[in-house]
Amino acid sequence: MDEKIRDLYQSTYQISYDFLIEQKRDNIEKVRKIIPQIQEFVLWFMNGNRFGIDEELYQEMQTYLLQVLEDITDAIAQEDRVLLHDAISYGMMEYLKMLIDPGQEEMEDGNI
Amino acid sequence: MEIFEENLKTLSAYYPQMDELIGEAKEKFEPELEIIEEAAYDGERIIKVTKENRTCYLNGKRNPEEPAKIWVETLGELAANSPIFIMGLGNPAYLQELVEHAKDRLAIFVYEPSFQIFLDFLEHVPLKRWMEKHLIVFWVKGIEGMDDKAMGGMVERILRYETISHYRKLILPNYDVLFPEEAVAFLRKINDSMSSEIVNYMTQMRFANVTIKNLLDNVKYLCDGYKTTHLVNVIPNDIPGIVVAAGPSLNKNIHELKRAKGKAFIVAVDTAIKPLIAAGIIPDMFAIVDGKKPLDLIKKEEAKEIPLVTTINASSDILKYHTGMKFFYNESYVIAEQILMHGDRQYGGVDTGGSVATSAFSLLYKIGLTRIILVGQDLAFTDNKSHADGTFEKVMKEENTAGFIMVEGNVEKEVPTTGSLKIYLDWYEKYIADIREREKEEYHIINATEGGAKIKGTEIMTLHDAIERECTKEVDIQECLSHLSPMLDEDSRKWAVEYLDGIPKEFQRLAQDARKARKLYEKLDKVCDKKHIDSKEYLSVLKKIEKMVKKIESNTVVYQLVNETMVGQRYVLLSEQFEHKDSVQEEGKEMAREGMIYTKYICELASLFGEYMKELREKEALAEKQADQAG
Repeated sequence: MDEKIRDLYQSTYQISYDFLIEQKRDNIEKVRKIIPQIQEFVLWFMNGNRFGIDEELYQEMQTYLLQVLEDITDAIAQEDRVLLHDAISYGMMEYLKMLIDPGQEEMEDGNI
Repeated sequence: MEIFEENLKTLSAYYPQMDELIGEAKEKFEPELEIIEEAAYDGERIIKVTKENRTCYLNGKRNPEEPAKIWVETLGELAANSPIFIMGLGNPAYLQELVEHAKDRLAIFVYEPSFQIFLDFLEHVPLKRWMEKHLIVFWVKGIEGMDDKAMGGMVERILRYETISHYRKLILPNYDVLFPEEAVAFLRKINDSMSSEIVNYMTQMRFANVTIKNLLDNVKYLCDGYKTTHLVNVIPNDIPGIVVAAGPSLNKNIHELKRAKGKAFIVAVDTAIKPLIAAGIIPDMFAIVDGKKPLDLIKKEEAKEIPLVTTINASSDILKYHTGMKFFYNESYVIAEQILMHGDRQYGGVDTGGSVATSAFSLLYKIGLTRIILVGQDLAFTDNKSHADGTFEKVMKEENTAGFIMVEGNVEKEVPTTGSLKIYLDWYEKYIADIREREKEEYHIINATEGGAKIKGTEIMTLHDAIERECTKEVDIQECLSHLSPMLDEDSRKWAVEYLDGIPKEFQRLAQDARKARKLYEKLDKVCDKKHIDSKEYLSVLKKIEKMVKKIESNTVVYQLVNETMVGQRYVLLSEQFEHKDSVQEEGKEMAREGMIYTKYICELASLFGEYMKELREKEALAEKQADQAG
């Protein structure tokens, strides 16, 4: 799963970069293409606390992740690029960052 | 409401009556969307908007400000007076980040397509500090005078050629979704303004060396010339006008024009003269606006007497060769305007559109013809050729059009065209649309080119059919024109000759003033060389410079000619002035450097033009004397 998380992070990072730096407004189309990977990640995350964190915190994180997923779905349905960027960059990517190698994440953040 | 009232006060201080205009718009407007207020996760106020069953956020709820911060970071350091174009106020963080982080004063144009969002913005965002720091123009749909059409004029005022390299634009996310048509129109206005600034600059650069020589050579023709505004009185408006351009398709139907002679007002462009004469057709008038057109293009005995409509800076070789009636219209040259407006005060310009054919088209419209037929107006390289055979060469050679822009054709599906021809095509479409919108009468614009690019708003017909339908009434244009008198009567003509005789002295006066100004700049340079600047002396020199510069610029008749010739130098100086300098001393030194260069050029050019004009006037006086003696 590590590799899949890294790939998903790379994809979301690029979408976020294009939106913020290049001012490209095609994030809906791009995110639509990676919905299966996002769903797979969400299901994997929800499928038990394997991260060694406090159970209460895990429950909260689950709830919040579902909220992020709902925002992504709503944003795509409404073609709302702002909400989608917000949910991907400051919602989904926070989870992905947490789970990948911290060194790599810092390096890429610096690029943004 | 406190912020709102304060903002109205601020806005009306910068833009008189803005408060009243907002008040009026507020009473009239009908809500077209619903603004829903929410709190972001950090408690900040954010909004989402519902329009036509679609709801979109204008700021993110997790991190509403970061996209704006990053956008401003990507802009880098912005030079003073950089033009920044923003569409949308729904997320004020963008404007806030920009105004607060830019070191130098910017020229910011904000377009808000929703009056409702603008009101919401005014209710929540205090503007006073921002307006003090930068030039901010708010253009809001729904406020009187701020319609999309008028926007172009304002954009052009902000986007000048020398600042184009510093310009930035942004359409706030989701504005392209909520206001797609407005977003496209906004971008088009910016692009149109940029194209027009670039074309103007390139034209000025291309013609800078010949324009003033032509103008000084040609200005004497005004003394015996005619005004295009007088054509309205003699050309009947119930006949069609025909613009004959020299596009490659002209060869296909040029012979048809014989049937139109005596049943229309036929105006040919300069390049079409030779093929027309070769086909046995003498147009009623021909037009030239280009300062660099070679005489060979029209050098035919038959062309000499054809009435000519021209600009004052057109090729002087052609105007000298031509001996018939010369028609002029109001332009921007003060030296010519003094004469044009002396006879009668009737002002009449022609919208140039950038080419001789567009000028001819505008002339026909301006003299009141409601049916205009275009011939040879390809605006494209039909059959890969630039012009009709018999213009520049007997048979024009085919060009490689591989990298050309493809546009919809009249006959073919697509035809290749160049950037400049595309600008003329766009001009036609906009001009025709504007005519239709403005005029109550019905206008028939027929494109009888039988090839080339399709011009939206025109009816496509063969020339044969167009003549059959439109050219039904007999008219003798030469007889009509014979009723006209020159624009100046005898007394006015005498005045004009004396006025032109005085121009060399005006150039001399300008050269003297430029020399004085240069000395002041040298003094400024010395003042700024000192370790500790004497502020009293510094300010005193600046004041003197200001006074002298005003004096130079007020000599508009000749200063304008000198200034126009310096287009390249002016661009360098104007673009440099936006670079930031760290101290008053450095700024003063830079100002002195630029001032010395500028005044040096003024002085040299004014002396040169003065001498040239003096020689011309002496020759002219001699020629008149000889003519009198011979007469």
